[in-house]
Amino acid sequence: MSNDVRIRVSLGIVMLALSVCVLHAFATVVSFMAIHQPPSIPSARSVRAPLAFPSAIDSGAITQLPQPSITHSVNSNARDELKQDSWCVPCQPSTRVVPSTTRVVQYPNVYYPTPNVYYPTPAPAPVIQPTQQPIYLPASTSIVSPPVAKNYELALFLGNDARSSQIKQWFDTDPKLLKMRDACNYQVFTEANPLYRTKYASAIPVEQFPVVLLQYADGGHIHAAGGHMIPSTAAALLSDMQYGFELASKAREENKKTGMIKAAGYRWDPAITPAMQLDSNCPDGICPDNWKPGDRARDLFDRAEHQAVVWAGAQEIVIVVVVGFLLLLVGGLVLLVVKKLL
Amino acid sequence: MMRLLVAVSLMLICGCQCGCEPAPVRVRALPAAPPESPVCALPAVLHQRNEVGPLGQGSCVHASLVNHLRWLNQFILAERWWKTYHDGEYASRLMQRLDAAGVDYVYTEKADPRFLDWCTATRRGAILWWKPSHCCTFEGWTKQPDGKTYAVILDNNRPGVWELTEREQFVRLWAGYGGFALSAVSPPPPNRTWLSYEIEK
Repeated sequence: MSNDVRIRVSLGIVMLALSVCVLHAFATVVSFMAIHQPPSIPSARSVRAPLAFPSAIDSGAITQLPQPSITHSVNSNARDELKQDSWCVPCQPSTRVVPSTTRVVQYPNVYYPTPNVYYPTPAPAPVIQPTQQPIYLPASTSIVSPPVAKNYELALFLGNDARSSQIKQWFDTDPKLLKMRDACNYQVFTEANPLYRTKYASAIPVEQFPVVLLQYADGGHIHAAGGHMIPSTAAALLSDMQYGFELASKAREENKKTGMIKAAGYRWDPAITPAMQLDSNCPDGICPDNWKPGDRARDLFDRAEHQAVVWAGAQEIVIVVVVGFLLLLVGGLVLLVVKKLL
Repeated sequence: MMRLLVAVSLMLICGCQCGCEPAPVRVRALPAAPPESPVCALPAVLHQRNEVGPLGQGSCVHASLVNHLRWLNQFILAERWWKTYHDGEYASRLMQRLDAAGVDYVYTEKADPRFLDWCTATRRGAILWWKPSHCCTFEGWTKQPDGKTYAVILDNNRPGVWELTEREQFVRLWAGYGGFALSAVSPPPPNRTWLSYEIEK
């Protein structure tokens, strides 16, 4: 073979290798996107908040609680009398405890906001003499259904900058973030907020503002980002929070043998959806470390429970076929090129 | 031949780098922090003390409500309420005034302990009739080392101090004091956050 031909063949093989790499990368990305489905947003539908309240009561004008079997009588006079005590003499005996917490909190000077608002003039209150019978007025007709306990808490810690305003606007206008917000106990704190200063300032300093905090109801964090860690779009922030939710959920599951997050689809178990996250390599209980000869062969013939012939998911089979076809095609082209050059 | 070998090697290297799956993410759960107790622990510096109003009456109901609203991060509403209302109060007029202010609330008048269970579970707390002619703030049930459940009460006559009363006794006495309790329907503040998981490297 002449040098010229050798050079041409070499160049051809290099070009072929590059094209195969590109095809391989493309097929890998496509197959990954086909397998991996974004986790569902922790929405009001998917979050099954336990009903802290026994049952919803709808008795008409006023929403009241279910009445227990009363073992003690209620002092109606005491209920309806005017509460005006300013000191407690004599008091019912009770245990007085000075709260001692393990967390030492420095209480800073509290700033009380003085909003420039209009204070309505209250209606003149009737003068009630203690010796007179208390005036019992009909109760309000407000209809309020007690909300259920929510499993998640979403808190924004915002400053006075444009970035903070933008983040607040995302949670007020973006449909998906709004949906997440409605599924959580939602609060907004500023630097001047007294509750922030006394309860959260030690953990979330002002220098980190703005901060987005998503956590479980017990305080376990799901996603926390502050300052430059917050992305520039609402969609990216939502994606970050979803990813954090995915990681936190996996960490909280009972089976944490490997902590690996993998997605696989198995045709043999209808209870497992194709996109289900599995954190074990042994979904059928037959693990590589305790596999015995014949275990798989037994399942192959156990058609009543398992319908698999090949231990592979549908997506995996498709990918293997497609990649194999492409390799055959490329191989044929290579042969043609070499034949022509020779 | 050498060039062919180099080309094949390049092809294998590129294929390996382009075709490898990303390594799965490993996460590890971290130990949970002890829960806050009581669940509605309003910081002591934010406790509102009772005051005598223009009519010479104590304002325990309004002080309790201010404590309750401050816990729910409704500071502006709490300040407006304290600015507007003082002196004595009774249940029905309190609810009328809450209606006028546009505040949603839930209440009981039958000393229903499950109402306080709900207030604890949702971390909202409540105001309730407690002690003779008095109103205090309920900060939740708490379980003590003796295994018993206690009601944690913030008395606006003694800010900075929690008073604990055993549950059965509390419900019995609460009924004697009128059995009224009210809670504003507003989301509670978040718990103090703690790191619940970490990504293993």
